Amino acid sequence: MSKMKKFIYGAGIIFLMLLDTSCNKWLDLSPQDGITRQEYWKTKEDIKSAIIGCYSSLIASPVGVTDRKVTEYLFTWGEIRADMISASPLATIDDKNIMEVNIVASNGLTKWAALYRTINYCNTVLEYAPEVKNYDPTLTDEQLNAYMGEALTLRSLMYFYLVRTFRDVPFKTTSTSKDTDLQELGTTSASVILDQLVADLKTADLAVPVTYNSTIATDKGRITKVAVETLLADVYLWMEQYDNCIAECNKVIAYSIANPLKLSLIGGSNAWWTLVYYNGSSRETIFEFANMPSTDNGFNAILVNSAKRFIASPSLVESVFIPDDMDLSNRDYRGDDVSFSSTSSTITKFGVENPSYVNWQAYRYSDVLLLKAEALAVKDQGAEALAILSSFRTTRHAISSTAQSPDPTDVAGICDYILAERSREFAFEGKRWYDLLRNAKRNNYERLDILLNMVSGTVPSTMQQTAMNKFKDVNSHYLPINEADIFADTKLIQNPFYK
Amino acid sequence: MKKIYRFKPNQGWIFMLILLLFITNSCKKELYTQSTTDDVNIVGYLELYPDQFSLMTEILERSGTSGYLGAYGTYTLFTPDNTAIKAWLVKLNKASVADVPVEDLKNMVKFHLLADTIGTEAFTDGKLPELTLYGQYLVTGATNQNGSSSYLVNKQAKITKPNVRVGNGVMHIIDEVLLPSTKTLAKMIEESSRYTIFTQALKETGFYDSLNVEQSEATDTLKRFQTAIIESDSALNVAGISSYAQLKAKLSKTSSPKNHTDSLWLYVAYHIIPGANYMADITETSALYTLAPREIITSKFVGQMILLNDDDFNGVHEQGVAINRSFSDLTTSNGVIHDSKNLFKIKVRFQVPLFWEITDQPEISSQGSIWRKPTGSTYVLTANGASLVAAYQFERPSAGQTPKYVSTTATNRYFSNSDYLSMSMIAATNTARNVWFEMKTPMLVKGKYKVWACYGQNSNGPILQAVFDKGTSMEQTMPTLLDCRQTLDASGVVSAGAALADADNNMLSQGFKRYMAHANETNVDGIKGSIPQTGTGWNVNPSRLLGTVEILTTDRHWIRFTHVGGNTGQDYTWIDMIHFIPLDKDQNYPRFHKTAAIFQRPNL
Repeated sequence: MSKMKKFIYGAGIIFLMLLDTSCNKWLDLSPQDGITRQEYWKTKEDIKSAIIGCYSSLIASPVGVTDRKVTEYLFTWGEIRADMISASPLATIDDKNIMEVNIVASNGLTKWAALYRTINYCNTVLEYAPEVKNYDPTLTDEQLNAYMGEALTLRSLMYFYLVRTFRDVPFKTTSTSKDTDLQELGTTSASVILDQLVADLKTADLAVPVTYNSTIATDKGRITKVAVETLLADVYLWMEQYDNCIAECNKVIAYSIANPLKLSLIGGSNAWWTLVYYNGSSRETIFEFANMPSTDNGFNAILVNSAKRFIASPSLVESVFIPDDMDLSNRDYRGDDVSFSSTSSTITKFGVENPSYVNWQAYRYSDVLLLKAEALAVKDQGAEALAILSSFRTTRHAISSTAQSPDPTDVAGICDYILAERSREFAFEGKRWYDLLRNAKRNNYERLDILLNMVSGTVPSTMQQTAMNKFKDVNSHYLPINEADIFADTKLIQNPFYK
Repeated sequence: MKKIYRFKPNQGWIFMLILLLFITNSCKKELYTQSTTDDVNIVGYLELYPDQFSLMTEILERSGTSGYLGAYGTYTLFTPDNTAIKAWLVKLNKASVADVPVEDLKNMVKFHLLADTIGTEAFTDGKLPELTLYGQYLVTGATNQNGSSSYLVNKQAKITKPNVRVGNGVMHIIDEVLLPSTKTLAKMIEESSRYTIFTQALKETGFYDSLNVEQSEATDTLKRFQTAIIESDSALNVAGISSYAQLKAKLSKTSSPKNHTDSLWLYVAYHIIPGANYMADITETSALYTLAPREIITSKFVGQMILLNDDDFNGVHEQGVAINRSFSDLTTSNGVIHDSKNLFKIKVRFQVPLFWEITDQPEISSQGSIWRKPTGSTYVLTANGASLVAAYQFERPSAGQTPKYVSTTATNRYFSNSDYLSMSMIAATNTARNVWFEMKTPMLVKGKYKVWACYGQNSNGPILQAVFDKGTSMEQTMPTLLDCRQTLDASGVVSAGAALADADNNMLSQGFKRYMAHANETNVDGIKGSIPQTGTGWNVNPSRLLGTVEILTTDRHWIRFTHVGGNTGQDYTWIDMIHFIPLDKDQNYPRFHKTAAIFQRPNL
């Protein structure tokens, strides 16, 4: 062999060796700038991070997703069809069409993807967290169950919103983590979903902690036992199971009596808004979406700045926060200049700063009291309901111009009174429409008049009769499934009103 | 060792063969989409579903309309399905579409077709925004049957599938064929058993003939469509009229009801309005101009009721009459009929002076913490580029220097009820300020009035010109300009002479007056006036006579103030009141006070 040949062979072998080693990386397909599922789900800290991710999805869309925030959808669905807000001149066509009861499946406000995104995060936790037991011996069953309980409760909250907004929706309880998980899912009837939510929440109630033994903001921003019980009470009331609702409320009330510093009403001061909203995580709150300290709640653009889409309804000063004509300084702590400004009609409840970090209040202790009062009223315990209402109004400094005095045997009268009080307490918090609908649909739509009276005042006079006739069809009380979703999933069945 | 490679002959063939393989491979035809869209047009859509629409397709073909409905355009087609058309054929006594004359088919298609795309979002409780090609309006609404709601067209057909978007428009599938009304207003009223008395009144007054003209033959284009709001026999019975003879006896003052000055003629004319005004249209307007010369019907929407002539006049509420919705919106070939629940007729009113507190608007008075509270607060009258007060309009509602309502604590100038309207005006177009603003007066009875503008004097103020009903046929410009810089001194009466007995008359002769009571006046309740009679500050609350206006219809009217000169200071245009005083009435009194107190002319 010549020298030359030796050199060539030698060089060839070295080259081959190089090729061989570098091949390791070439053929490795795992991403170098992220973590795969197989590498994740190893320690209990991984589960905690994933759970925190579920909460984060409530206050901001993930990177790369251009969608409205979950809270914007919850605000819009809960208010736009009701009577507390009006369209500003800059409201979108979609906004105006819903307000005028001209709803079609192409309306962009009927997209539900933001909520299903959170549901999928929860499903991912529920599916993969148990595997961590195989790797992390320090993960106790109790800890695992607590995490699972948080995910179950959050998922239930999202489904509860969906069921109240769309009625029958696809009910997915497994995660979508890979292409083969994609499936066409039909709609599940609302009653089936609600039954499952009750079962899930009962499981969660046994698993989640009473407190996280950390800051108060943690106990208010994460799911605790009282949060599960409050949600369950709300679900029961929607399902018209009043005894169960009262039982859950009583659990929360008992906790409040035992721990007044952790959970009770803040009264007797007009600093109420500052404490509950501006500072956040007050002892009144049971569960809030924690925008603080640094995530913009996004409401400045919708409710405050000059291009805002919604303003407070001009009828609020006539029917909800009626001023005391004798003494204008005698004010409800929740009314004018707190939740909204009657002079500019701006909704100020979520703060007027840009950006604003006021938290989204999912449930407060006042919710529990009023849910219980409503259940009691329907169960012919009107006197007890009125007693709760009366002491609650005193705490809130509700003024006599908004007082009513229904007879303790007058179920409808007491329910109307509670409904009116809820409109003051939860003004612009995305609850009004569900409150109206829950009261209207009770006992097979015994009180449809609540919705008909409401809509006769909110739509333009030229469309009033048409809108009222539409509202007589109970299917119209739920939004249509967006046409893009119908197109993508052939198994979805559209609400018959929109066919 | 060098060697040049050459093809051997057989190797060349192999090479060619391989090349050929490539070529044949690449020749495989790929399927490209050659159209930009696979949306179908109206005709294409109907052909896709022959089980539902084969008869409609046949109608379009036989009527010769399928050509243009298959081509580009913007149409709305109300499409009856096969069941609907079969029922229609049975009604016509025809066995098949082929038996129906082509002309009838054409009319049928025309009545279902509009030359615009109208989705259900544009539906109201009244007519669609466009005419059908047939020339009659379609009326929409919604109905609820057995718990399920659907849109209703012409009170005849339900929409079973709304908003089917196709390439050249939109289709609404309906369950009945729509039938145009073939009868005129006159015929419809005559044939109904509800309106026998009114029918006879129509005939006796000659209106029957004018309401019996098909819209296509109408010579006066304003009267192609007309609206009749009429009382049923039972409504007249309630008012004590049980026959035409009684109606005539009660109303007709001359022997001939055809005479245009006869009250019976006027009564019937007062029930007829030019144009097709459906309920939804009536709820949107506040005044309906009738055929009775210069007489209007006011309309008001309260809760779910439409009330006619429900007015506050001279401080007194006059209860209106309600429209009976179930017998209204009745379409005829040349108009629409509504049913009034009670008798209504022209109200004979007499002119009264109107001392208009321009800030007395429901949107402002609902601001409880500010309204007429002498707290020095302001209320901005525009927001988001729109006026917050229905009775105010601004040239530029988005202007940065906003118009305001002010309740004032000022003691150098007093205003009636301690409040006024503060404007920032400029003559040329300027994004920061308004060139003009206008206000809708309360009800003014027709007749002539002297118009007095009461203002707070400011040396930075503008010169304004007042115009009534700008842009309408009743437009009138006031001859005198309102110079907001002028004090009462401009009348020639100065402080030294202001307390003299003839001061008021001297000012009046120059078109000025005091409108605020002065400190030496005491009213019946013992209240003293707010401003000094002479000396500093006596002259800064002037009222200026702008001229005489002739109000032609008893109605609410617009008065516009346009900047024509003077200064352009921000927030320096202060208007307090406007007085409309009939020519023969006292122009000087009553006077006003910083509270609601009123000072009548003292008895001498």
